[in-house]
Amino acid sequence: MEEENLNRNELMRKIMDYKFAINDMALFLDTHPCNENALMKHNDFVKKYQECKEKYETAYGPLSIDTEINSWEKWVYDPWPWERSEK
Amino acid sequence: MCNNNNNNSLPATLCYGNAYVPNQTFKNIFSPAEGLSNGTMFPELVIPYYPNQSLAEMNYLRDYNERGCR
Repeated sequence: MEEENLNRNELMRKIMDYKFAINDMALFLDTHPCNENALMKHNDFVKKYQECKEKYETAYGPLSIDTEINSWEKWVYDPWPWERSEK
Repeated sequence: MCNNNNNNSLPATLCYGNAYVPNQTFKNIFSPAEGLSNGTMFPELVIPYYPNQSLAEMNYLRDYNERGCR
């Protein structure tokens, strides 16, 4: 898989890319619910998004609260979105 | 469930005071990274707007956009 050797920032960037693509495909599908090609693309992006998110969370801790969290400290003391990097 | 009523044309009679949006057809899309930086996954929807846009710029964009839209 192409996301094999990405560093933390690159992986995060992929996650943002796929999340955007998913949302934009959803907007299209809302008005074109029968479009098979768009649906295929949507599902492809969802799959890749989930792969990247899982990979990121395994390595660096949870991105959102709907993930299984092994160490709550990791969640609490991780940098906030406005803190651009770990201290 | 999915009745594929692919009617891409606008109604024959357009009423005054109503806004109409042409039905978008699915063609090539950007890669997710390109999409995020363009604000849309659809190349035909890249329609940048700048205040005080010059006529030359508008013509350039019109030529650039395959739909011929500004």
